[in-house]
Amino acid sequence: MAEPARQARRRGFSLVELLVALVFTMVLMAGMANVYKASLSAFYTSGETISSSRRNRMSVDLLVEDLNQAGMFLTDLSVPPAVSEAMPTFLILPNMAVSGAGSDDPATADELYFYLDQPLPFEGTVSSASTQKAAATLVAEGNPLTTADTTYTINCGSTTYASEVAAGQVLVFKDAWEAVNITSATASGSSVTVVTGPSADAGITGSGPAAPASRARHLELSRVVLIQPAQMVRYRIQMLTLDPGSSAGIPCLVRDQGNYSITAFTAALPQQIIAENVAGFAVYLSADGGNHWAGLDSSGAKAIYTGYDLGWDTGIRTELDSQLASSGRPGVKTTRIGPSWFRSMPLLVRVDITTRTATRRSEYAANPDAVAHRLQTQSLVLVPRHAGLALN
Amino acid sequence: MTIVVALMLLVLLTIAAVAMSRNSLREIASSGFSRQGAMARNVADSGLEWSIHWMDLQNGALAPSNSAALKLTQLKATLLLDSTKAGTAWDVQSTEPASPSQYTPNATNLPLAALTLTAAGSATQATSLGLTYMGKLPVAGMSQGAGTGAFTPAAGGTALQAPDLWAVRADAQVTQGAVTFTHAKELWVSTPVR
Repeated sequence: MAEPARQARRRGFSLVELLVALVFTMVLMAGMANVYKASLSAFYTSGETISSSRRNRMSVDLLVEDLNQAGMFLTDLSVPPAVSEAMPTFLILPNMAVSGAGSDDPATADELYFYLDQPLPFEGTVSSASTQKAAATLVAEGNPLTTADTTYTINCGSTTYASEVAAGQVLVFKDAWEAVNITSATASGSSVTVVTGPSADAGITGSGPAAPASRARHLELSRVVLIQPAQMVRYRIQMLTLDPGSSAGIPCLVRDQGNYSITAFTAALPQQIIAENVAGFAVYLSADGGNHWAGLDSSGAKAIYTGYDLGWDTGIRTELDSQLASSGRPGVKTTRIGPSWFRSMPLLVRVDITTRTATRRSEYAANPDAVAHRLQTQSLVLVPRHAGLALN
Repeated sequence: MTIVVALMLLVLLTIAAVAMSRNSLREIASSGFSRQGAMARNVADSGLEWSIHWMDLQNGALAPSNSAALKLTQLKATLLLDSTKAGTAWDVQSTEPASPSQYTPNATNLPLAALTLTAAGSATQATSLGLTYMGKLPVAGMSQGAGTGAFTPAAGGTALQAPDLWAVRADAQVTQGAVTFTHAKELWVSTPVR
């Protein structure tokens, strides 16, 4: 009689029990898969968003430093350079077409131009080996200046620095302020021997003194500053083929620099990429403390005008003039006072930089069936250091 | 044995989690660097602003006795009296402003006490200042020196003379733990002849 009971204890799960367990497990697995998918999505999207934020912050940091140098005239503190109205010392060309932009890329973006005399990142000292004569000797002799009288040996402190000194730069002595144009430079170790003389371009671009150095002898070991004069800087968005997977390229905020020309901007130095995947770059100006922004229309949206004539001259600049007419301080009621007007009035400059994630995802799209980039915009608002100087 | 295996799995899981969040860790580090770099920039700016205030003749006359501000005004007077000291940076915190010590950019100079902040467990910030007399501001139609470009000496009162031109250099340091962030700035400023 014990046999049937033992058989009953050996019975396994029934098919129904197994099916129920299987269904329950599948539901659990499906739930787990959703959790896993969500966490994986959060992992990727947070990384991409952080990367976009970092690029945005770095762009703002670099622009702060650069904009504070806009309008820095160092080669002649009392006379502004002979710049033209066609290429003034500060210029915004709004809504310029981004060449080669695809359907997901910004079709237009602002271009920002500004002028500066750029100091080299080191100071030198007048070496005892300089051959120029004492002023009293020169005056007593009454002779015309010789090359030796205008030749100086500058100790730059390092071989790299010495090699950066070149003809066309300007040398400023700090013992009795005097700016001289360098006509030739010969580096030797950490020192460089420079011959100074009149600048061939002085009359055109204001890129340095028109006359040779005075006969004043400078103090031995006096410090000197070297300046790359008359530089024009341009910020804009450009499509660059940095990603092998994207033949059209990706939109990048780039900085170009070249010698100032009264007619057009020409980049001369290697291009600097400020940030990749930049979806927007816009610049606005305000002369009334930010109550109104030239470059925005009455509804607060970005104005649609473009180019120099419509976008700048009768656009942003004219709007700025109307702000100045009502809010400008006495004597500063218009920008139509010359191409260096930027230095004569304190202005708020606002730069909106929009970065995007490198990848398009459905998580970033308003419609879950579509894919899109996530955009992040930061505004930099500052009064550039050289806006509002009263000197000229 | 089971506990050991479970602990090993836990350790592996932790390593994997940290490795996967390395972007976040990198971001924390870089945003910290960015903040301390910005602090150094602000400290250098503060040093320049401090100098602008105390180089003003009227403000300088109110400098408290035995203060850094008074030393700055005394150093200014020393440099104006001795033209051979022009063109070289001198330490604003020199012990004896009448016989100042040279200021070496990018090196350890005397920090300005008024702008030094030491906080336990936090960043330490300080800046040093160097002052250079650069002669007269080259106002159009006037200059200094002899020979070509020579000038007609101003006749009469000081109002007819070109202002003095100065360079102030600030080397700021912000130290957090073993890392020191530095930022150097130079300001050129003119003051009326006194």
